[in-house]
Amino acid sequence: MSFNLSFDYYRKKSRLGKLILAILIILLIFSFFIGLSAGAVNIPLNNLIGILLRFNPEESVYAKILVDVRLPRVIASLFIGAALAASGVSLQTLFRNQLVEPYTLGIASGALLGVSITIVLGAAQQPLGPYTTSFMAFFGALFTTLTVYAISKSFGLKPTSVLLIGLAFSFLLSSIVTLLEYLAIKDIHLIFAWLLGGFSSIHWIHIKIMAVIIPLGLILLFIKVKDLNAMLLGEEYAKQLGVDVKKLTQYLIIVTSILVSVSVASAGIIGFVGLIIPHIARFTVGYDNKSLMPASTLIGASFLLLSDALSRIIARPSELPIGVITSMVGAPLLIYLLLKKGS
Amino acid sequence: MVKIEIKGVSFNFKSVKALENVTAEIESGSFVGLLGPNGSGKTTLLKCLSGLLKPKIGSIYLDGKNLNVFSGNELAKIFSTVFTTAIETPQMEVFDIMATARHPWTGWLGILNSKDITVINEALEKLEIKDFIARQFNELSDGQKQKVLIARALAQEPKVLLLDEPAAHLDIKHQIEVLGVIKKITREKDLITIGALHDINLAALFCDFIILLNKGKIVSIGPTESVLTSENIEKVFNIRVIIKKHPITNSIYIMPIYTEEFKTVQPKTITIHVICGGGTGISLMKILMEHGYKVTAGVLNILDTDYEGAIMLGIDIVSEAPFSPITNESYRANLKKIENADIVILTNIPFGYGNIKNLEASLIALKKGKTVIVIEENPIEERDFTGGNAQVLYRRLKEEGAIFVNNCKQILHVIEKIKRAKE
Repeated sequence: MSFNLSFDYYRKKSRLGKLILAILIILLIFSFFIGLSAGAVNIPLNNLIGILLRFNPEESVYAKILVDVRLPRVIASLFIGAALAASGVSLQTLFRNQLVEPYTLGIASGALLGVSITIVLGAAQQPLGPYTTSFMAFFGALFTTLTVYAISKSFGLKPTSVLLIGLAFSFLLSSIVTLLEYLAIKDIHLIFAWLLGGFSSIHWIHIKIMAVIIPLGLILLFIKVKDLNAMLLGEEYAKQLGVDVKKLTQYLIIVTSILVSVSVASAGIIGFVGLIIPHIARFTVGYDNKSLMPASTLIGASFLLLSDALSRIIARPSELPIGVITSMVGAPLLIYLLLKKGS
Repeated sequence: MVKIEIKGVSFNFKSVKALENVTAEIESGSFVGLLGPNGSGKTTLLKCLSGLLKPKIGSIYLDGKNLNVFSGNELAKIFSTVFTTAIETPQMEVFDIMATARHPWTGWLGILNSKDITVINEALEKLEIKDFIARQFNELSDGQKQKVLIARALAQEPKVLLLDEPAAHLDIKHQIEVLGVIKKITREKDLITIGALHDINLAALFCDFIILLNKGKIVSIGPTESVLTSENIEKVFNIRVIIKKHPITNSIYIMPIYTEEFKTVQPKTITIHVICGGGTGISLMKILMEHGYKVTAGVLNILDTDYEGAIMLGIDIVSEAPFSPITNESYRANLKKIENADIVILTNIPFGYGNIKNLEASLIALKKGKTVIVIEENPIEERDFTGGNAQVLYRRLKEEGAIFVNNCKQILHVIEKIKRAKE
């Protein structure tokens, strides 16, 4: 009977959604082990589990590499990929603009300014340098978004004004960074290296902070999928569905900026993930944030794990900047998907 | 059963008054049309109703409870809206659009249960668009999109349905279909439906009640027929209209009269009286008016094509009862009009005993020294149904100096010449 059409459709859709999520979880696990295994020294997969279970760095060379070097960066890429992709989905849906990314609100340039100041002042080159750098990146990032947020608030937090103010702020801060680079030309390579992002300076302290903040932030984003779905039809419809759009905007800006600030502080500016992964996720599960959010998170984490692994393999024994890999792999992938969809 | 009371609602956008002391009472089962020119406050009133805007003064009550006491989610269970702004959705499926409607009814993650699906299905069925379910929304036509949005609004299971221009962007077939469905559902589900409409005729056809707004104030409110009078519409929209009752549907319809083009031409001081009938004068009268002449006409039988045309053009006419011979009374009235005219034009009318007095009137015009122009497209012999009387009068017109022309086109030329000669 024709009555069941919607049921059939919904059942098929949710079954497909679950299947895709299951595949993505498997992909993530697979990527995680590839990330642990690949690098300057390949650790055979069959050794991996045992070392992980015993977790004793003194046991062997493999164990030392795995526990002290690989594991922190693999966990970091997992967290950061997830955080950037989930933030990207939230902000793109909130602003109804698919060109928005987590850095749009000025986070990246704020962090970069913080780091540049640290480097120019010579604080980064001190023994506690990495911590100072991370702290300044975090501080710069958060300070910038909060400033953008405070200014936008006087415009009633209208999406376009938030984005424009974020954009203006990014330009402003970037120009200050350029000035600093100009003044401290000898340190420019340090700033540049940080700008490309990377996991080589990840420490367990970063991991500990991320392990608390990122899962919590992700949960805070996940519980807003219903409101985000209401935003799909635009602000007016969201409001008439009972969503307090202003509060949602506040909430999402704050949660995503904390997530992204922590990521940026740990591994620098890793471009492309927050912009492109949501698009790739939409190709797999569509627009419903109930599936888009987890799919995007899983793909983001896997993508960054694999990109990091690739960056270590390609130029073995040295490694390529992660930002180069994410863009080089991500951009063609997106164009391919767009072409496939178009035909 | 629900009841909405709007009590003294005013709303300002900064310095602009959008609504001023609006008071109305609406009961369920009725389709209410909000009419008024652009900027009259229709959308603002809808937004105040849906809770998107809070009235600055006054309150809105739902079953006696002030809307301010409802939470956003509670309001969403009562009101649902179809906005006029187009939805720019990136590749969403119709089902995803429909699913948003269940937002107020679902749990914190928005997971749909079988009741939600049933409601969505039913709404799609009502609009007969069930086969759209897996289609891309932005690949649908405007009419189909509008149907989806209306289905979406229904799937929200509202008690009050608010529609901003539900028939805009639709062709006539879809307008009728969509408004028909809305009206039917309003009855079946005992809803209150309030729709801002642009098309007065659509409102007349579908709405039970009308709220006529102008500059934020209610001009008239009540059953459709009592609100849609020509006086009300002329006052609010600043246009001329004729209101008729359709003989079959028994609903009223409004015919606007297009007078704008006459306003732009330089008015001329010459008055021309046109004696016509049977459709021989209508295009001439329009041309004369477009050239700025003041036009009068008569005697015309009511229901005659020229009568209807003259009314539409807003021409001052002497009329006679339908299908009746010209009485002495209207004959004299006609002579009076001729008296006031500078030029009299007699069109290519067939003459019978009923209208031979119009021919006599032309002759009198000539005797009174008026310029008489006669349009003779067919010889009078073919148009004389009076056994020769008309031919006699016609000959005398010729003898006494009436100007004869072969068609309407020559007229303007002749008139110009006369005008110049006079000056």
